[in-house]
Amino acid sequence: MQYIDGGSVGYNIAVLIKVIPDLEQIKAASGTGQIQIEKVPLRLDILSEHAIEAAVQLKEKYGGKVTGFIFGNNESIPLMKKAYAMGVDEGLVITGYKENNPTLTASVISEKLKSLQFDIIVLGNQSADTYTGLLPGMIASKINARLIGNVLSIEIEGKEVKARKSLEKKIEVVKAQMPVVISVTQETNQPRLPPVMQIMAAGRKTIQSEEYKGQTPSYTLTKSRVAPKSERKKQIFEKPEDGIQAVVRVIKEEAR
Amino acid sequence: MQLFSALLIAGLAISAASFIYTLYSIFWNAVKIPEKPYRIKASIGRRAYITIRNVLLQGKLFKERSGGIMHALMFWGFIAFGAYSATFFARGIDPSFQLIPPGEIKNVIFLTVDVFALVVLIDVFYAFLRRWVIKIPRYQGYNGFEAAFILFLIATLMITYYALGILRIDGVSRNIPGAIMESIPSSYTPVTVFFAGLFPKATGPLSVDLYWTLYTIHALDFLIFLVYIPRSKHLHLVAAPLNVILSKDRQPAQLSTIDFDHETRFGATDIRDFSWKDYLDFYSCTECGRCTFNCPAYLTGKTLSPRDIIWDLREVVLAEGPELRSKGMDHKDQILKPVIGDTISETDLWSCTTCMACVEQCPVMIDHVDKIVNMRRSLVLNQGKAPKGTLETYNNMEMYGSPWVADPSTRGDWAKDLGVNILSESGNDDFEILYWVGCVSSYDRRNQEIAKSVVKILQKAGIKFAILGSEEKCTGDPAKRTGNEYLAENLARVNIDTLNKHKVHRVITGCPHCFNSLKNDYSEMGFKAEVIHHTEFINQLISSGKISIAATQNDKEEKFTYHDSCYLGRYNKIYEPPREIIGHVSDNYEEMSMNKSKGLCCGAGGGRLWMDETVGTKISHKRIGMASDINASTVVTACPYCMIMLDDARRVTGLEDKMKLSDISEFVASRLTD
Amino acid sequence: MKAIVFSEDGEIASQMVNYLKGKAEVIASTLTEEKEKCIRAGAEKLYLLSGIAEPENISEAISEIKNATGADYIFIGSTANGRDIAGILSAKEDMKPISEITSFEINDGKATVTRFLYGGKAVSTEETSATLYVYAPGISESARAESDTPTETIQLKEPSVKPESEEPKTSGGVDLEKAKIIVSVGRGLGSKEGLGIAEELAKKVNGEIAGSRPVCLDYHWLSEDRQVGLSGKKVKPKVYIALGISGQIQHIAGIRGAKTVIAINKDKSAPIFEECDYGIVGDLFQIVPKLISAL
Repeated sequence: MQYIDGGSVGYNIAVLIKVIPDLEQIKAASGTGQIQIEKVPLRLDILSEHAIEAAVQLKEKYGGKVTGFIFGNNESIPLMKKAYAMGVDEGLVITGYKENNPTLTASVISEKLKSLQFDIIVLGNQSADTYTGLLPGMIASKINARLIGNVLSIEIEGKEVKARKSLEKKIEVVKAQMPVVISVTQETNQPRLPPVMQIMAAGRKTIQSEEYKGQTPSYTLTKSRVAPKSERKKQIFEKPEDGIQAVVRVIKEEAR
Repeated sequence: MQLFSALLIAGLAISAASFIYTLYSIFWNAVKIPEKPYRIKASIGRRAYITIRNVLLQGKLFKERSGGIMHALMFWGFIAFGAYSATFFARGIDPSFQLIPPGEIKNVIFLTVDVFALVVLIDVFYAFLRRWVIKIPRYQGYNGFEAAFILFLIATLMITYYALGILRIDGVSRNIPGAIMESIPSSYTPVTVFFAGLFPKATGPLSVDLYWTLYTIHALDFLIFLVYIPRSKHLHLVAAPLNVILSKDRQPAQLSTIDFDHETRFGATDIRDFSWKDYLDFYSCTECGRCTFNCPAYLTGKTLSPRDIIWDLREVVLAEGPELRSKGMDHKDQILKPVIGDTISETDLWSCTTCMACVEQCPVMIDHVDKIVNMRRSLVLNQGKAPKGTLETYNNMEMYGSPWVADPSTRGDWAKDLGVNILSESGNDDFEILYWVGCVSSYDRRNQEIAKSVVKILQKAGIKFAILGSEEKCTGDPAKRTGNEYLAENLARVNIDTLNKHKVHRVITGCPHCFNSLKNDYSEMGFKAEVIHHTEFINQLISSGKISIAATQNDKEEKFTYHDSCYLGRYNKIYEPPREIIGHVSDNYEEMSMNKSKGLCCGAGGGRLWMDETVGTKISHKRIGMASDINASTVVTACPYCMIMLDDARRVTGLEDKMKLSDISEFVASRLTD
Repeated sequence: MKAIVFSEDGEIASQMVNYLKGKAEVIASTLTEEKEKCIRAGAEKLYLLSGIAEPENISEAISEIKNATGADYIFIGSTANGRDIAGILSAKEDMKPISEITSFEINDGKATVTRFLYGGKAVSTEETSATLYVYAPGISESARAESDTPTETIQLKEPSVKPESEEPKTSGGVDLEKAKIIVSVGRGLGSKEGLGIAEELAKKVNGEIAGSRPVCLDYHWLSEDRQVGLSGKKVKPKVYIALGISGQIQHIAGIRGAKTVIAINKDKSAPIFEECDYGIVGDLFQIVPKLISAL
């Protein structure tokens, strides 16, 4: 619990937002099958929208302020508007993102987070484009915060956070002291449709940005990035008997 | 006799004061509370026409014949009877006054009075039978007391008229000052004469007392009526004619625009968020229930009832209005409660398919749908609330320009091998007509057949056409009708820019939803082009001989029916072209039980295509059941939405093998001859 | 090369041991209660973590094992907690991570992995110097060795995130995402009664039953958690059998990851036939019983 913006008491909440190419519009080049993402429009990762929703709901319920962070590039800047429309109060876009490197992302974001003393940091549990899923742990570790991953619901009492974690076979209810890093899942909430007044207000709000000028050390070399399988076989049988034979063979083969 | 005059003047004054005061307070509400504008043009010719048609001739009432005839006779009877009432009061006050000079005109007027009084009396009896003996379903549970009371007053008015007439025939009132109709020859009051024959001749002083008693009852009855009208549903006697005269000069489905730069409250949250015309709508309602009993949602077991929406809003206005008047407008924020929630449930608002069946049926021209959409706007634009499926469509429309998740670059893919000029690829603006494909026919495989059929027909007719390909975006209709005017407007602007960029002057489209947007919504935003639906266009091609069709061998065994799309039919009054086209091929055609202006919606409009339908029967199942009832073997449609819904219904209800479903374009394309 | 594998699910730990055997000297670790699933996986050694387990103290324990054994690689099974553990370890131990690998090869100290990106639209082959790998479960069978592995128990430290209670998962244990074979039904089934035949087929092929959006959400023939499609589960079984599913865009989006799609549908023009490997045109109520008996 801290004093925020000249006196009102509330929590200092951060939400980490990922901008990704729209997966539906990613295509493979005909012939080579190479995946092309250059011209694909950007969007907020759906899990980041869930994270924003969770952060804003916490603010609405317990008071406080939500600051959004994007590590991306110049094209990512306008996307902060959607976060504003959904209820994020302030936003910072750090440009200079080059390629998927969770280690670098974690350290760039953690640097920022450390200086700003957040009580709660919310992010998606796994991004839709790379499925990394490592950032919650990395950031919690780097800023020395407690990690509550894959939550379904969150409650706060004073400095204590109680949450329901969704694991594979059960739901675990845990408690931890702030600062906490919370990762959310698709089931956590339904991202809101921002009211029009907020969409328009968001359009007028300034978005801070700064450039990350450091190195992007690479530890992987992508050898190929192709569509896993360009086309289905499309063997259609209009005589059921023939079809059954073929299908039985396939099922037996695969179900070994 | 001066005592009677004085009493009559006093009674009339009190009743008139009450009448005027009640009207004042009601119209004060309508003038002072609403904050939304209502745009209206003079269009005097049109207004005169609808006044004659829908007020004087009671035109819209006959959409339901028996109730319509009953009401019209009552209405005309009342107008005729006005001559009697006016004379009655005028001479009651001043016995020497001649309202209508004696002569043949006066005789004929009172002949009408004499006949219509009987008609009204029979009508009252019939009304009684309808409500309490036949028990017409739409009346049940609605204000039986008010109806009974009014019928009683009317009957009493007519009975005392005849009773006084009998005394007149018997000569009782001949020398009483202020007695009326004394100069009318008895041959002009045949009904009264007939009744007089049934009773012994009245004589003596008692008959004079009887005269005055009946006279008093008649006068009192009239005065009570006057007091009662504005306080009951019979307010429609005053409000409904006004409502008709002042009705929208645009298509009734046309929604109001929102000024996003200046407005801060969107849609309708409480009673201030309506227009004075909406108030007139509330006041015009008599709870007749024609709307509800034509509502596809209501007919399939949902709780939505357009009548209740209007009536509930009226009740809120009549409850909150006086409070505002006494406490002052400054207390608006404390007094006005949201109408969504306790008064009108969100579920009901989302159940509406915007099919316009209610509006079409309403005899007094109430616009139910635009109120529903305005309340949806309140939920969507102010609070970001909508069913989950709807929220998804918003995201998709923003991201992909389609209610579905679909890669925009593949929008024109269906046309790739058909030799079609795809503008997003060719950039070749040399075309006469633009074929606007729409999302459903672009992306849904079943519906791509419609697009391919249209292409086949256009090519056959040798028309130089083009499609926009990936430059086409959803017209915004699903957003607009679910209340997301903001998104709808943004999409419209992008599309209008695209259309203008390609200098489009003529558009044909196969989707009635796109058609309605392009033709009516876009034209309000400055898009000027001729917009034609493919049903009309194809019909013109056939009648002008540019293409010809012939029945196939199988057609001899087919029985056809046509399902009206709401956005084509009720929205744009296109009923005949598709029927004419089918008529070129087959005579074995039968209408389903609800058709043309009464056509039952497929259940997909108003964004319902993307919402779950879990309460009651599915609308589409009810509709396909109607096709099955007449043993139709081929149902022809002209709307991709209907195609999706009915095709689904056909499969799920096990009619897949018995019934075919065909768009009118497919119907024609598969029967083209050289 | 020496690798530690960890998963709090003994089955996944065992899979990883099996997958890495021959590529590395494998040290396994899992929670004490999962001992039986892993003891015969054939690892060099099995560390059993005992006590209240949270990602935070598990990662500390793995650090300990790393120090004790001098392992240079760590493999963590991709589960909700597993990814959190991997994240913490990566930061604490300063190890470069790679997520969701579906294959791992090592030659001359150079690792090559493959993994899916962009919603399954791309398979990426990468050469990497990463040392921490998150393993996508299901790419290998679990191991079965002759004898028990020597074990050592490590007592977990008290975590600062304290578990209070547990709730069962309401989904009834449906794990469509991991199912190998899915029998999925659409509106073409006609009615809920039609489910019987689909269930029979599912039982025969040891698969899970699933459905399209209308079947789960509109008609409620199946529970919501069995919905496959864009707004439901995105599945990647080896065989996906679509019965009476027309193949709307949204549905196809959910089955892109399926290896083989088999479709049975009456309607020859159903879009599913454009998106399947094998399609049979005909009445599913006639075809499926024949299929079951042929299997």
